Amino acid sequence: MQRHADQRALVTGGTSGIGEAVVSRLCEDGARVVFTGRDETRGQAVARRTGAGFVRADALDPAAVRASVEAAVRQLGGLDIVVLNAGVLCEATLSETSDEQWDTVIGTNLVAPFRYAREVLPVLRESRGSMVLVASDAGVWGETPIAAYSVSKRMVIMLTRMLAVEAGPDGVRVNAVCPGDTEPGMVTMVAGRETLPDTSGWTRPPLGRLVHARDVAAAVSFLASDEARTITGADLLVDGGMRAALRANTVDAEHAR
Amino acid sequence: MSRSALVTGGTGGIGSAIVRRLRANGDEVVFCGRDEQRAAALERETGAVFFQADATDRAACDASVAFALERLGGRVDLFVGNAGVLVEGPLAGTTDEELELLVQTNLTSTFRYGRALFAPMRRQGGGVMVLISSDSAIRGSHRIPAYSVVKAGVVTLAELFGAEGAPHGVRANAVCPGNTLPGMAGDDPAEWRTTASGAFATADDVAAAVAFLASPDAAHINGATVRIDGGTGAALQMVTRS
Repeated sequence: MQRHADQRALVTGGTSGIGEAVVSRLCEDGARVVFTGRDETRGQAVARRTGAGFVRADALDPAAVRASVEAAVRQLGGLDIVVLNAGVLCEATLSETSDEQWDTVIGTNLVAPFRYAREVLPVLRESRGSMVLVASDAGVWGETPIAAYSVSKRMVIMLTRMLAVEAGPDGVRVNAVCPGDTEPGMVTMVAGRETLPDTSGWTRPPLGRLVHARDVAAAVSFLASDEARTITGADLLVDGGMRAALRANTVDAEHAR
Repeated sequence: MSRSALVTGGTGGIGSAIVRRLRANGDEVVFCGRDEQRAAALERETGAVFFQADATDRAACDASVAFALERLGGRVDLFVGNAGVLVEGPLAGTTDEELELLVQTNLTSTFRYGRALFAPMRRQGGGVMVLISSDSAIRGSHRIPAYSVVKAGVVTLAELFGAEGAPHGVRANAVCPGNTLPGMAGDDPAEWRTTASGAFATADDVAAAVAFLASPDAAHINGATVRIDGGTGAALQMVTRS
């Protein structure tokens, strides 16, 4: 039997990268999936390919957050799995981060998942379902070139813990995954970047290769399943070992397989 | 050597203790806050200079930085990011307005002050930031979940300002007090969970840590987090089984 047979799932930011991989994986696992995103064209393409339902929603818009949860509950008749994945990256140190960049990163990566979590909690309490938030390895150990992003993702990890404590007594589990540099993922999807960057020179984690979006989706699928029934409030690194020690940063691309 | 300092949230319990302590060390101090009456009393008592600025008012905060730089002779050696508000209660009942107040006051204003002072500190050859976070930033508290989330961001701000500033002589550290008297969690310790030591920190204890982190004795302490909680957060204390 499929892991998530007949489960009802909502995935935010499902039109590309990790979100798209999560939508695909949950569909393969037998779940009925509704996903959100901003890009109508990509959304429709992912919907056609996976059979999931697309609801256009900008995570920064509070009305769209509410409407997309309502639409998912209406289409699916409830929710068992919620994956809060929508997020944006900003490549700047703290001193170089503009007000506009800061507000966008904090609004999208922190305030939006907070709002989504608040909207879906009553629904998950009914089904004793579970939630997975997509944080980042940068939330475990910050990175100066993506400073506001690191700050926001640290807060996502704490949000995960606080939600787990609050919803635990109702049988609702809440966990976070913390992906390292993922392909295709955040770093290849920076706004305004039309072509994928050459990742061959990136610092490799101890395992020697970058994380693939499918690897993150596999962790999400596990955390959302009954096999993880006593795991809650956790932040699971999916980073090829990058955050295991400082030495990881000295592994050169030449040594990568 | 006399240094110049800017302290936000200087009229509150911990903030005013920090202002007093820095003035006792001989520092020139500009402090911000909302409450004019308490500010006037603190000015009279310490000789520190008040600039009224609500931490959620970006224009007022920018003006307070300009005022401090002008008033303190073009340099700020020490920035203490202390302005903060508390919101209690479950996340499910936390409104958009409450979250916005927490984010703007505790997080965004701290970021914006640090950013505004980063360049002057770099130009003058160095400086120190001490950001007041909370023990709940390290081990979240279910009574104040939204506050815990936002304060975790403040710790990261200290780490990243410290990391970015290190090559330029700019240090940044986070101070994480537990329940403090006087502080923001009210003034009745009978309502508080007990600490590992049985005692609660005073605002002066927090001010002492700020003064140390700001001093040359702490020249190699950067991006660090200091808990001031009597050991409460050091380990989970299990209920004794009889």
